[in-house]
Amino acid sequence: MLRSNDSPYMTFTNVAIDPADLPTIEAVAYQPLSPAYPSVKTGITALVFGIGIVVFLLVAFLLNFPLWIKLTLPSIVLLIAALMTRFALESARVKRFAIREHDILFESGVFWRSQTIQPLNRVQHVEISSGPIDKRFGLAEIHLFSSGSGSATYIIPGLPVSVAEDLREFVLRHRR
Amino acid sequence: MNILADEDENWQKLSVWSVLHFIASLLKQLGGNLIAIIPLIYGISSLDDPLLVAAVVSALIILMITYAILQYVYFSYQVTDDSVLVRKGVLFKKQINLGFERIQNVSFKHPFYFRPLELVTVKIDSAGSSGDEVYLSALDGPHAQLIHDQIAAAKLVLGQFSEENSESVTEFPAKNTSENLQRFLIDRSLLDLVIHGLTNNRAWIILGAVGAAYGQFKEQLHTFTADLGFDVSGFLSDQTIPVVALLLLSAFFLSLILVALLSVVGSIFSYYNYKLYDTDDAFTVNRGLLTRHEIHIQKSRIQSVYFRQDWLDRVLGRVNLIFEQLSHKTQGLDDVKLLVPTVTPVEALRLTREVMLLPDLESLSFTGISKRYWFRNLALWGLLYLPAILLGIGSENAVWIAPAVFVFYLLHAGLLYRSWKCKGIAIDADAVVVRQGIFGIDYLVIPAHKLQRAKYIQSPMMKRHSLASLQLTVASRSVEVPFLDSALVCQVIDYTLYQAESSNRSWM
Repeated sequence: MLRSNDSPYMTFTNVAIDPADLPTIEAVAYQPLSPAYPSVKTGITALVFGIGIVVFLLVAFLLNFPLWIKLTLPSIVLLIAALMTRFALESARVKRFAIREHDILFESGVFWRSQTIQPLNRVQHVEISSGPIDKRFGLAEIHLFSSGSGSATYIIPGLPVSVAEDLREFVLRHRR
Repeated sequence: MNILADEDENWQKLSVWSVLHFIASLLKQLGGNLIAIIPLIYGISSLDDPLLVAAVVSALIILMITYAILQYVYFSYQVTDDSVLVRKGVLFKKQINLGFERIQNVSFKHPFYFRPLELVTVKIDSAGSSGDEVYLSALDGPHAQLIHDQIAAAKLVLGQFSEENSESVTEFPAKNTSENLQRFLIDRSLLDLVIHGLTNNRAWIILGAVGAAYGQFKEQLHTFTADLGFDVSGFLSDQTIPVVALLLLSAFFLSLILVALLSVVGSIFSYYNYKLYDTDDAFTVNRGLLTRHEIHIQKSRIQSVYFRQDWLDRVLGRVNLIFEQLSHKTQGLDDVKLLVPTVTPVEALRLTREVMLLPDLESLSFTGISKRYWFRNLALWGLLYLPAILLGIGSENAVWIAPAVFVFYLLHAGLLYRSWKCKGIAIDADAVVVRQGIFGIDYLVIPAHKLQRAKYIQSPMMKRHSLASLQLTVASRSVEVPFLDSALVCQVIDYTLYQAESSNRSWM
């Protein structure tokens, strides 16, 4: 069964590597996202909830809801809004990334902290996108597409536009 | 290039017989849209005049045949040096350019309606978006083989020019010699297929076909039983409860047997006369009772190997071997995955070694996961069971509820224990092997150098006990091993990244 020709599947790579010698993800120096990113994220969340509350109050007064609904519902929403805004701030703050010679690392998650590592030689194409609000604050997010179903797009948000563009250049250069 | 203007003779037409293929695929589409045809069938069956019914039905059939003929008329194709081009569409014209580098598989189908004529349908799958696949139907055998060889040979040339594949391709069988170079690997006997049908529910293959027919005859069936004078509800109400329970139980077992039977029949339909060959850098599968499928899968495209074993498989000492390719989830199971039904573990290992180096799975030393995983699941499920238990204690007349739920919880805890016990990971050279299961044991084998992405996940609680979850993604799937020692997770990630990034071996 073991054929002698140099079929790739039979190339015998008996790697004896000391795990301690490998570059480790534990020793990576992370970089923060743009300092504007947490405030923008928090601002958007607060704004969305704010608009929601205002719209509710308008409707409540127009349709003449009972007073206790006018009072309790907005205050519950306000409480949720405060929590969500706080969460948005926190989740934006913990996000950070790192670039190594052969891969990109991205850390995120307030409760479940995760580090996702994307090898550069698996990236199929790169996209930079920047919404209207992002644009106003000079932010952009970079999307890295690799293959397969399990791997949803790899996104690093909240980068200063120049950093995002440099990063794209870096990824593309690696592919060549 | 002006697509519409070049009327050169390179564009080829299919044989007239391809109309059969278009009719068949129309019928298949209709079958897939049951909801769409139910009103149609209802409408037809509500017509009183049998003459009218005949007229409507024949009009529909004529319409369908006409459409199929039009599809044939507007279908043309050509195989150029680097791509397959197809023009089709009756109302909406469409040109598909399928570059060779995007072609994932070329497979042959021998549907029953082409078999007397010895014609073949060639299916060409795109590695890009799904729905881009191309069917060239009613070709004669040599022509189909020629197209297959042309694509394969061109891919070889492409491979030599692209850096990634430079070392991965050695030789490709020249034209018309593929027959001789086929090395027989394994076939499946009828008994194997019966076992496969029993251990894997393949009933849906039959049920899908029967479902349509049943909807049509339900009414007739109902009137038929009524005519016999058999009143089901009246019969049930007359009987005492034990008899009813017995009836229900036997009905349950009867349906189980029926489903198992259907499943066996389905398994035989799909996998009849299953033969797997090795053609140097590809697998070739022949299978199927009514429609013979011939599927070619490049070995280098295989992203993961799955040894799947249900409890019944384990009792019988069998395992289903599944070679998985790049998947977009929307595509059907058949084409993206190569399944070798119900082989012995030894055979599974032998076949897997055709694509990658793998030691005996039994001999690997697996690292288990932390017992806290079991505790956590016990606690989470406990929270779900708790209300039922409390309610049971609270109620006065149903004293048995609380203990019953508790016993159920204990049984469940046992299953969770098994599931915890089975989970584990082992690494040997390029192979990352993940073990999981409850009664049957599944093994998932991933070549480390094909890694697409790695993930390290940790909650504060896990951090306190220096645990972490590991997620590895290849192009065919993601696999997660929870609650491992966090240092080990780091090591595995470092190692697999090293394999993926240091070697220039292609993942495709």
